[in-house]
Amino acid sequence: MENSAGAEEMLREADRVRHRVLRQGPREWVIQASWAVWVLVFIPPFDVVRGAIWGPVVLVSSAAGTALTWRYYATRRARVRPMGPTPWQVWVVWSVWYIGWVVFANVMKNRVATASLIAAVAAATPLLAYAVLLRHRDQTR
Amino acid sequence: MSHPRSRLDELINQPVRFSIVAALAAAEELDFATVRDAVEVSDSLLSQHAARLEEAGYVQVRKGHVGKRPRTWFSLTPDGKRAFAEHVAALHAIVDALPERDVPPGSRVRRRRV
Repeated sequence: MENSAGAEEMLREADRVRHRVLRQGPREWVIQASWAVWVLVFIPPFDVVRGAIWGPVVLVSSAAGTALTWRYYATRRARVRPMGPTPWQVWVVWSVWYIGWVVFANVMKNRVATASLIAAVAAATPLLAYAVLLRHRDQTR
Repeated sequence: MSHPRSRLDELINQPVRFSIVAALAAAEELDFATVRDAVEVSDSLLSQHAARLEEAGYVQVRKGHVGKRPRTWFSLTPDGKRAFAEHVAALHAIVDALPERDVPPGSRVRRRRV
């Protein structure tokens, strides 16, 4: 490597290869964003649909979402084991946060007409913020 | 003061090996097919260069199975990570050594942590 143009080309090649690799790997921000959307879609209807009817729908969709998440992550992780994956503690903390808002919605449903909507937005916001953060990290790493 | 090219790693300076190491630097571990597709080389060429990098202690090879299919995974060793980081730093130094007026606008490569 004698000249600057050659060095620049090698650095560009490193960037190109890195992007190709990251595209093949599990994109964690997609998982986080998908679950945030799931919360925003499936929780607010509790404000207008009876729990006995909507509850099973939520249960089935969450089971399907878990299976899809697992399949997506496991398949891609077999190809590309990412650097610095999200620690499982993040999911535990978010689950506690989410359950807290579900309890809030249940307690407040007779007093606040949009309790489930409020709970959904509150539960999904940190997940969406984290997804944005992860996406930014993937783009700038 | 020595020219930054003297800090380039001879083994990594070969284009295919540079691309392989750059791919491996992007993740903890990659399977054979992912490296091959990212670097756009044939299976045999990848095997050949990966063997050279493994001999040099830059790459670690792990063999296993996914279902019943055998698979090979590659990862950079600490020596490989260090060598790549130093190589990239030397490349940046070469780029930076050129006066700004000789570089076409917008052609500078953004410095990146490796």
